[in-house]
Order: sequence, then C-alpha cells, then structure tokens
Amino acid sequence: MSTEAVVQSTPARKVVIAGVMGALAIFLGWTHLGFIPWVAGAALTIMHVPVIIGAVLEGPIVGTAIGLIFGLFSLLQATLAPTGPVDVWFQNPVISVLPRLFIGVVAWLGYKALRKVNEPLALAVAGILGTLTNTVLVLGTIGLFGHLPWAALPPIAIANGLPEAVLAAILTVAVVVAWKRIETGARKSRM
Amino acid sequence: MEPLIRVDNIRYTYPAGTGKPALTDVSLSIGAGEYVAIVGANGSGKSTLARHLNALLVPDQGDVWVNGWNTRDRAHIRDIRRTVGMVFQVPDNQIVATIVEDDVAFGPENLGIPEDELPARVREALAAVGLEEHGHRASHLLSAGQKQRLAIAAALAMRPLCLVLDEATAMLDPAGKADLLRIVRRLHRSGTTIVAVTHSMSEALEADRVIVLAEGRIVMDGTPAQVFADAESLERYGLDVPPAARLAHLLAAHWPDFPRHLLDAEALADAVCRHLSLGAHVRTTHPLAATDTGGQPVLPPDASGQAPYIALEDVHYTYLAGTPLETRALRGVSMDIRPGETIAIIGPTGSGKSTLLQHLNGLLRPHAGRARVLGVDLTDPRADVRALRRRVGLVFQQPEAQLFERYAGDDVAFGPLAFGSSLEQARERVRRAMEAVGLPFETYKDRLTLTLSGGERRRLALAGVLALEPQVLVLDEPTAGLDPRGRNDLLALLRRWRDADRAIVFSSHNMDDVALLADRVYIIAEGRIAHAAPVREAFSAPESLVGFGLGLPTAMTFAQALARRGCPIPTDLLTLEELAHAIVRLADERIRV
Amino acid sequence: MSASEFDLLRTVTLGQYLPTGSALHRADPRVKIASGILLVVAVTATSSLAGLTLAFALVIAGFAVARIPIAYALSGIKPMLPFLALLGIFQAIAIPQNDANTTVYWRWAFITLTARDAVAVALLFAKFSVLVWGISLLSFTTSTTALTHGTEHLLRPLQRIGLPAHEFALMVNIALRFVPLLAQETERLMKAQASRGADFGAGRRLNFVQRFRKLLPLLIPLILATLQRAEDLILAMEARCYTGGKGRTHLVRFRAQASDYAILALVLIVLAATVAAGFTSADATVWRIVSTVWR
Ligand SMILES: Nc1ncnc2c1ncn2[C@@H]1O[C@H](COP(=O)(O)OP(=O)(O)OP(=O)(O)O)[C@@H](O)[C@H]1O
Ligand SMILES: Nc1ncnc2c1ncn2[C@@H]1O[C@H](COP(=O)(O)OP(=O)(O)OP(=O)(O)O)[C@@H](O)[C@H]1O
Ligand SMILES: [Mg+2]
Ligand SMILES: [Mg+2]
Repeated sequence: MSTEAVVQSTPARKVVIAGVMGALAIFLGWTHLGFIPWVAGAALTIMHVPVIIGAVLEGPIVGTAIGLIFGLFSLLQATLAPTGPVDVWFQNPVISVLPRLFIGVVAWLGYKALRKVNEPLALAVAGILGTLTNTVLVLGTIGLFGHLPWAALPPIAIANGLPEAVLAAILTVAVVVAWKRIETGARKSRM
Repeated sequence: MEPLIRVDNIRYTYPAGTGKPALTDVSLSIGAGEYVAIVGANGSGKSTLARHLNALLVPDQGDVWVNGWNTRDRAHIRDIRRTVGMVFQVPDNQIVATIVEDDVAFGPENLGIPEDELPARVREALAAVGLEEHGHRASHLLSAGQKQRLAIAAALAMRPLCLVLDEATAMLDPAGKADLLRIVRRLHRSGTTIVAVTHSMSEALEADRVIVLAEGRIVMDGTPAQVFADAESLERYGLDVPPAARLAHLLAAHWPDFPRHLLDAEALADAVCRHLSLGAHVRTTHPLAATDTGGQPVLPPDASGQAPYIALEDVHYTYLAGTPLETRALRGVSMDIRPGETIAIIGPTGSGKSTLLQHLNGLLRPHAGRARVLGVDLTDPRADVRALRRRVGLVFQQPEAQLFERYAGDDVAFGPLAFGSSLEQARERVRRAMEAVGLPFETYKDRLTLTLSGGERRRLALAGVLALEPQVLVLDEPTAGLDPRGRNDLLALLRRWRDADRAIVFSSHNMDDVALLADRVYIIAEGRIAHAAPVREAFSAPESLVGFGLGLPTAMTFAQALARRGCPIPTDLLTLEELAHAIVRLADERIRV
Repeated sequence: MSASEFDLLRTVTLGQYLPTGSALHRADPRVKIASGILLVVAVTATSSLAGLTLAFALVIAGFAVARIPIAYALSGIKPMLPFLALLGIFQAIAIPQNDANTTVYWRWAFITLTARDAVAVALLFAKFSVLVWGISLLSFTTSTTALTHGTEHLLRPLQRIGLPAHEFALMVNIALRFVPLLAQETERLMKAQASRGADFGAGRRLNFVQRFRKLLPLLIPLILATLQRAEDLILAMEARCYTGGKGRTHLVRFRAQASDYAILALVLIVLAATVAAGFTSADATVWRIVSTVWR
C-alpha cells in the first residue's frame, strides 16, 4: 500500500538530487562517518548508499552521476589523503571510478522490477543489488590488475559485501519509506 | 486593464499530503505596481499560493494568469518565471553557485541573455541590494542578511515585474530585517510589484493591501486599515493586529470614543495626545483594575541569597581553532543565573548567543574561564555532562534539526529512553510533556513528524525536552517563524512552566518576547557581555540597544513617540497593557487636577 | 585547546588552494585540468620507470613555476611510506614470480625477492608519487570555482554529442557547496541528540552492531533533512528558469593565451613520451645497468 506521490522530474530536480547525494557520499567518506569498523581492522562502508537512494528516487542516469562523484572522490581521496595500503590500488580509476558507475543502474533495475509487487521489498532489493554490484566489480577489477590472487577475492566479497548489503538495505528502506511517506502498515509509534 | 496576476478560482492538493486541499477556491488579482502582503497561520497555504504565482505549482482546478499567460502553458513558463521572481525563507537553500556573481548570473544565463550583456546585469542587480563590493566573495561566507539580499539580487537580475518574498525576513535579526524592508520599499517605489508573505503584522503594514488566508481560503482582502480593523476575525484565524492597533483597542476599551483603526506609532501618539488634552473631561467608562499586569513577568523571589544555578566566569570559546576559519565566538562571558529567574540573551547575528547557550548543558566546554552549571564544573574533563543534560533541557534554533524519529510519540520518548526510563515510565512522561505543549497525546503520537506544520514541530521539539523534566530550560530563539497565535501560546506555556525552583534562559531577536518573559537581560556583542540589567532598566537606555542593531519593545517605541510630543509618560514600560494603563492613569490624574 | 566532539567542520575544510599569483595560477584552468587528466591517464597506462621519471620531472618543473615549495607536496606523501613498504612486502609474498628468467636477490622460506618484485615496487612508488604531486599541483594552483568552470568549459564540446557536460559541472558545484552544509547539519543533529541523552562520547569501544545502531538515528534524519533542503534548492532554481544546459549563456569566459597553448603542448609531448616509453626497451636498458651494479 502506498500513498506515494508522482513528482514530476525536471532537469533541476535531477541535477540537485545528484548533487546533494554526491555531497552525502563525499561527506560520509571524508568524515569517516560512512565507515563502520568490522572484524580484523577492516571497515564496512555505506558510502555507496547515496548512489542507491539517488537512483531509486530519480532513475539510472542520476544514479550513474552520483556513482561518478563517488568514484572520483575515492580516486582523489586515495591519491591525496591515503590512509592505507589498499588506497594505492584505488589510485587507478578503473578500480575506483568505473565500478561505481554501475551501482545506480543495477539498483534501479532491481527497484523497478519489484516496486509494483511491494515497495519496501523493492527498496531492500535495490540496496542489496547496488551493494553487491559495488563489491563484485571493485574486487573484480582488483583481481584483473593482479593486486590480489583470484582465490582471495570470494572470502572478502562474503565477509564485507554481505554485511554491507544488509546495512545498505536497511538504510535505503528507512530513508525512502520516510521520504515518500509510504505507509508500511507495520507498527506505529512505540508509545 | 488586465491585472499583472490573476488567480481564478484555484484549488490545489499536494499529491504527497494528507489529502486535504492546501488551497480551495482562491481568486485574486494583483495589479502592476501593487504591494500586497499575504498573512495567515502556519499551514494556511501562504507558500502554496505564492508558488502558484510563478508556475512552480500549477493548480488542480482553475487558472493562474501572469501577464496574460496561463501558468499551465508550458511554452510560456520562462516568460512567466522571469516576470515573477521569487525569494524564499532559508538563505542557504536558494544559493546555487559558490561565488556571489555567478549566483546572480544564474538566472540570466538560463534565459540565454547574450554574454556581453551579463556583466552589466549582474552589476546592476548587486547594486540594487548594496552588495556591489561583494561580487567576488564566496557565497557561503556571507551573513544571513547578505544572503537574503543576494537572493533578491538573483531574482532582480532577470528584471522581473513582480517580486514574491516568502517569509524572506523570518531568519534575520532586526538590523537585517530593516535592511531588507528598505530594499523592498525602494524596489516598490521604482515600480516593481511586491507580494510579501509574512508572519509579522508590522511588516504587513508596509503593504497597500493585505490578504488573509485561513485553511487554504482567502478570508479577508483589503487595505491594512480595513483588515486590521476586524480584530476578532483576525484572532479567529490565528493572527493578531499590529501593535499600534492593539494599543488602540486597549485604550478604546476605556475611552469608547478613541479611534480604533490606528496602525502606526505616530498616528497613535497624535491621537493619544489629542485625547489627553481635549478629552480630559471624559471619564473612563470602566474603572481600571488595580494591577492589571497582563503579560508582565512575575517578579522573581528574592534569590540573591541562593546559590546560582549557572555561574559563568570569563568564558572563552573558539570554533575551528588553528584553521583558517577560526572564529572567536566567546571572548570573556560572565553571568549568574539563580533559581526562579528568566533570563534573555539578546544580541546581533553572530554575536555568540547560540554558542553561549550550548555551554549551559555542556555541549560545548569553555576553552578558558570557569563554568558551573547546577553544581557541575564544566572545566573538569571528568564532569558527567550527560547527567547534566537531563537537568538542563536545550531547545535548538531550528526545530527541524531536533526531530529525528519517524513518529511524533517516539521522538518525544527519545530522551527518557536514552536516559534509561522503561517504556511505561517513558509513556507517562511523553503523555505529560505532549499535553503540556498542547499536542494531545492520543491524537499526535502516531503522526509522522515530517508532516507536522512549523508550529507543531516547534511544540513537539519543546515536548521532547520537557519530557526530561529539566530544572533549567534553555531555548534558542523559541518564537522565530511562528505565527502570532503559536507565539502567544508558546510564551504562555513558558510562563506557566516557571516556578521558584526552575530557571529559563532564552535568546531572541524579538524584543517583545524579551519584554513579556524575561526578568533580566544580557546583551551580548562580539562574544562579550556588553550590558546586563533587569529588563526594564536594559530597555530604558535605548541608545545602547540601537547601537547593537537591536530594537525596542513596541510599547517602548510608542512611549517614546508620546514622550517626544511632550506627554509625561514613563518610558520604561514593557507591555502594551502597561502602557495603556499608564496612559489612562495619566488622563485620570489630569481630571483630578 | 580541545576540539569539541561535534567539531565536524574541522575535518571538511578545503584548504588546498595556495594563491601565490604565479604564472601557473593565472594559466587557463581548462589547460590545467586537461593536463591533470592526461597525467592520470598516462601514469595509469605506462609501466615504464623511465617514462615515469619524465612525468615526474614535468611535475617538479610545475612546482618550480608555481613557486610552491616541494616540501609542501612531500608532506602529502610521507604518511604513505609505511603503507608502500607494506605493499612491497606483500607483493613479494603473495604473488610468487615463478619465472626462471628473473634474478633472485633474496630467498627465505617461501618468500623470494626477485628483480621483478623490485621493479614492481619501484613502479608502484613512482606512479604514486607522480599522481600525488601532479594532482596536488592542480589543486594548489586552481581555485574550486576555476576548477568547476574550467571543467564545464572543457566538456562543452561533449554537449554537442548529447553528453550532459553542463549538468555534470553544476552537479559537482552543488555537491561541493553541500558538503559543509552537511557537516553543519550533522553537528546540529548530534548536538540535539546529545542534549536529549544520546551518548557520542568517544573512548568507549562499541561493537559493530552498536555503532550502526548509533549511526542510524543520525544518518536517517540527516539524509531526510538533506532531501528537504534539496527540495528548496530545486524550487529556487526553477524559479530562476533553470531548464538544463541547452541555450544557456555564461558569465565566465575563458580565452586561452599563447602561453596556455605552450603549456598544453609541453604536457602532451612529455606524457606521450611517458606512455611511449612503456613500449620501448628504455626500461630494459636501465635495468641491465642496475642489475650489473647489484652483482
Ligand atoms: N510538499 C508538501 N507535501 C505535502 N503537503 C504539503 C507540502 N507543503 C505543504 N503542505 C501542506 O499544505 C498546507 C499548506 O502549506 P503551506 O506551506 O502553503 O503553508 P504556509 O501558510 O506557508 O505555512 P508556514 O507559515 O508554516 O510557512 C499545510 O497543511 C502543509 O502541511
Ligand atoms: N559550529 C560552528 N563552527 C564554526 N563556527 C561557528 C559555529 N557555530 C557558530 N560559529 C561562528 O561563531 C560565531 C558566533 O555564532 P553564534 O551562532 O553563537 O551566534 P548567534 O548570536 O547565535 O547568531 P544568530 O543570531 O545568527 O543565531 C559566528 O561568527 C559563527 O559564524
Ligand atoms: Mg510557508
Ligand atoms: Mg544563534
């Protein structure tokens, strides 16, 4: 059930949503607010969630644009303010930029396929698919460049990618449901 | 002749809203060169109407015609929008470019104005708002007042025939407001049509015509004199008459022949003087109550013997120390606040009010100096500030920033739950807090916070703090952006909340709030306390206030106007009720003589 | 003086631009941006140490012209040195080079340090240095505004073939403008929550679920508030007739000088050489000499 509005998309809307969601990705990365420490010194990231939200709200082109900002930012950050050895790999735009261009498109496709069935479900799927796109493509390009042996990749994909997908799904659903004032029918206030 | 704007029986419902129409059967015409004020309670549809005037919204039914073009006609959308320029409420949210000049050029660039002509347009628009010196500055480094002037320049660069201002002055200090109004007045004189949405009845007086909206309908439309004559209707719509009219009504209650329809201070002062000399023989019909103090603050119990709740001594605070953006926000602030007191902190924009208030619950700790709040020493790094925060409730400047749960009830419960209340205890506290601010628990607890009106959000934010049952309440500009009724309700609520064991500290740009609520006033300027005095005393040295870009309470402005006419009226009166009382007593004394 | 726990703005100050008023500062931003992009491409594409040395010389020359002390750029590279060392070791361990043709310098258990490893690490280090210094030079000599305007103008030809160059530049501009606003918004939210009992105090170690739990009531209102702001900005832009890049004119115009063409030509030649060196035997020659010396 949804009382969702049909907001007409205009050039201004597309540019602004892309800009502010790009800003959010930059902000999350810059302040490290978007990193959640995980096992063994690794960190989970939710920096790509703005890309997914933007794609769901404004479509694949906006999603790709936010992905581009996200990618360029990680390229710059890896180059100008590196914090770990892995950053050296991300100085290669094929690893840091290219994979990010596909997050939005895949998330949007997932959302579009399922939104008629159940909107919150579609949002969760968008969050998961978007995240997995990021994980698989980034690790894939890292493998291609031979930075890591192929055998090392699947465990990383599972250890990082899956929990990140869950976090992204939770955030995407929470934000978009609140923004579009979608009635989830579940509980109301706890009070 | 065809008017510049014709709104023809429109109706509009937000697609994502509650389903209730935001505008119903609205019709009006605005002629070229008019100055129209739109007033109405929070949520009455003012912004919605304003957005119909340049095709940002298109009606569901009915038509809007601008300069002969229908706003439904997408082919003329540019013509319509360049004819009617818009300025919005929040300064930061309407700046597109990082450099002032680029921002002004944004509109003309979109219109495809030839590139040779652009620099001249930008210069001309910046000159019109007095920002010609700032063309190359970064737009985000301007002050709030300058940002709003930039927004006007950006609209002017498209050379509009009409300018719509949607609460453009709401977030400015008195000096910034006065600047903006002066600019608007000048534009109007040079032929620009002005439509101004406002909550300030004094600002509405600037217009030739006032339109009152209530629940999406136009309920009054006429000259200020006509509209403000009907005080009862205005009150029903959650509005107020301008202060001069309020005073005239108060006086007319005693002197039936006193003219009620006076709108500005000067006319009122003339009338009072006339009445005092001519009508001295007329006896008042109602004897005055002995002490009708109305909204006057209760005098604090003599608390000088008690230990202060809050004691600041030479407090310094610097933001972003050691970076190029370093700002020394506090440079030696000392104050004592005792139980039972209500303290107002006033000062121009950027003087450090918010910074100071954030010290009171330990959000910020002094970089130098000493600060004790309810016995907690904030300079001690081990001080338990979290426990302090339960006893000192802080309500922020923007209520939007402090609602973070989806449902209203959950939001109020945030504090009690964070401090470890059980769900049951929390529910009880939430119920009490919500009832106290006038949001019935059962009706409001399941409302989505995103769909609440501005006034409701403000109350909910206050409830969230009251649910902690604090001893000291700290409020940062609590009445900004509220409609007159919301403001009166809030002030009444705060007056009820006060008692001998509690203290209130608030900042405000509105001197009437200060006069109505505060016992003592601290004037802060450039991070230092420039003056501290009981409220009456603080306002009786008006030169110092004006020097800091601050105004006077309206009652004092009137008293001064009277004093200038040789009327022996005391000039330290805080409220209109007190002033009316003094005027009537003056007349009575003359009769006796 | 202690930083407040809410002091987010500190971490997001863009203090890169160093106006020394040099010729390079005054150069056409389009040329500088194009050079930066070419540098990234060339450095990524080449695998020749000799080529990288050429590119490096170009960047150093740039620093000299810009009158920016090399030490400035050095400070950016210092924190990376331990990581690079680690990476070198990693390379030696994880990627065994079972290639009989390479000289083995050192062998311990399964770890072998071969000439090929040494080359790989040296390459990595050289690429890294050239990139960091090149991009630093660009940001030291070009203001943010010049960067966005320059990018837009540079991409304008792409507009003709339907790529949204103007939209991209505007989007980046908006993004850069919103980052500090987001910092402010977050600070406000954290303060409001702390005022009502939320505990952001550093020091206590939180596990991962606790951290995420704490982050959610901050992130969700932050994103919603950002979207709300975005709605305001959309209205403001539409009220000012924004309908996309088509038919727009521009207040800022650039006119390339002869010196700008000269810079571009120099950069093109050097970087072409950088890439070309990867296909020649320049490196092999260099390595033969190095290996001989080692023995
Ligand atoms: N974007 C929106 N989506 C859904 N409902 C909205 C939206 N904007 C406003 N409304 C609703 O429409 C009604 C009129 O709102 P409007 O903003 O025009 O009021 P206003 O008179 O400008 O109030 P204020 O003084 O608070 O600015 C309100 O009930 C409001 O809740
Ligand atoms: N979080 C912050 N980071 C950096 N500088 C700040 C911050 N908050 C305030 N400042 C700066 O500190 C000074 C004092 O600001 P403060 O907000 O205390 O003033 P104010 O009196 O509350 O102003 P206003 O009336 O506009 O609310 C200003 O120059 C402001 O720009
Ligand atoms: Mg409004
Ligand atoms: Mg303030």
